[in-house]
Amino acid sequence: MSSLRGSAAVVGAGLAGLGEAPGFSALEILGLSVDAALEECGLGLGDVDGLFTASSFHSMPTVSVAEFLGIFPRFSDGSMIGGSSFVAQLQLAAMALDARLCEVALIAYGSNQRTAGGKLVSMTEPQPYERAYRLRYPIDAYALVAARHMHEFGTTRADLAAVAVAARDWAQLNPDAFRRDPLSLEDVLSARMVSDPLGVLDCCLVTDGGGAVVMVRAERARDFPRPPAYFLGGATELSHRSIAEMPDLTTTAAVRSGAAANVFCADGDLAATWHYDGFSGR
Amino acid sequence: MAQGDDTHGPEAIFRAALAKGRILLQRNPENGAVVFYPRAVLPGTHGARAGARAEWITASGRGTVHSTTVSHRRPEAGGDRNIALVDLVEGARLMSSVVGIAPEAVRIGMAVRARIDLSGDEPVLLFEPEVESEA
Repeated sequence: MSSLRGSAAVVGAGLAGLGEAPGFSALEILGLSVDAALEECGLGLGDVDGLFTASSFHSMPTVSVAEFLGIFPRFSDGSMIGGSSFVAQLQLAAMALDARLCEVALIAYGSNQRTAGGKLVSMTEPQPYERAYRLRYPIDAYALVAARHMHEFGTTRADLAAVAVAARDWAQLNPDAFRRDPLSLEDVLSARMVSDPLGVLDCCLVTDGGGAVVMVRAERARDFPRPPAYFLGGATELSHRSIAEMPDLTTTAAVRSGAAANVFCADGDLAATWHYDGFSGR
Repeated sequence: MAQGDDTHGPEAIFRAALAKGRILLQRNPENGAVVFYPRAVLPGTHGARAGARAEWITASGRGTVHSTTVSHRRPEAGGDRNIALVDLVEGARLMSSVVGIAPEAVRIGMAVRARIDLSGDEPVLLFEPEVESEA
């Protein structure tokens, strides 16, 4: 079991600009979420000495964010591994805190991709052995995965649509959710086709928004206004960049990283699981 | 030197061969594993030891569709197009597009044969359905 289990905790979290934030830049949205996270735990920017962020837009995201926030982090990490970067950074922040490389770790992200263009930020560099086929990222790649899954397991479009419907059902319980109107299986199945077998309602919403969390070592986690959320474990695994290089289209690296995270829970302890499943075919 | 020659890396060598109608693949001579895309260093997935040198082989161009999608586009954006992953008989997988057939008619498991499109700025490896020979 990792020595990091229970070594650090999130003591503040903040959100800003969820859904649509017209007129705000990505850094401004990020800054507002950081402010909310710090306010929740009663700390200030001057207390932050560890910074973790990532970006598809800023080539030196930690440097840009540190400058924008007016902080001088003595430890920082800007590893970009895609949409899971900020979840992975929980582990990195716990490591940095445990090693006494920082005392207050801030993980933050902001995006204005809805109002800035309404498209998912695409790959920044063309893939040498894919560019000739002019893929639309990431949807065409996910479609290849979904088609293979249907072939191997008999999965149907309705099975995939059920994922989108379930996500919308949960969204209806969340006042911060961007789309809260009812969504039916028929709506998803009859929506405009984008990349077979995925229609437009199988696709990830493109939204603005920012999020930030503040982590400290466990020894001081009880000194803050809100109950701490302890870090129990985490793991990452890298697999491929191009879909043609995925070793098995229906087995993701999460199978191994999930096991490696090694978070032991007693029966009944697990109250919620959150999956990053912006596309029904994932 | 299969990793490249004195002035070109594997990618440049692959593209130069493609422009002449040949599909080059790399093979690990120690275990026969076939590699695509061409690398300067044999990838770890194939169990190569450090210092192992790939050799070039010419692909037959025959393969099977591993997965397929129709990427729907507006007519002004070129219209619907097929995007597929193809398993070559030599044992490597690559991305391509199956042409010469309606994009939605491409099926997983379909036998396909390579066709190199030389009409553009750079050669493009495409596939079309295998035609049964009249033997």
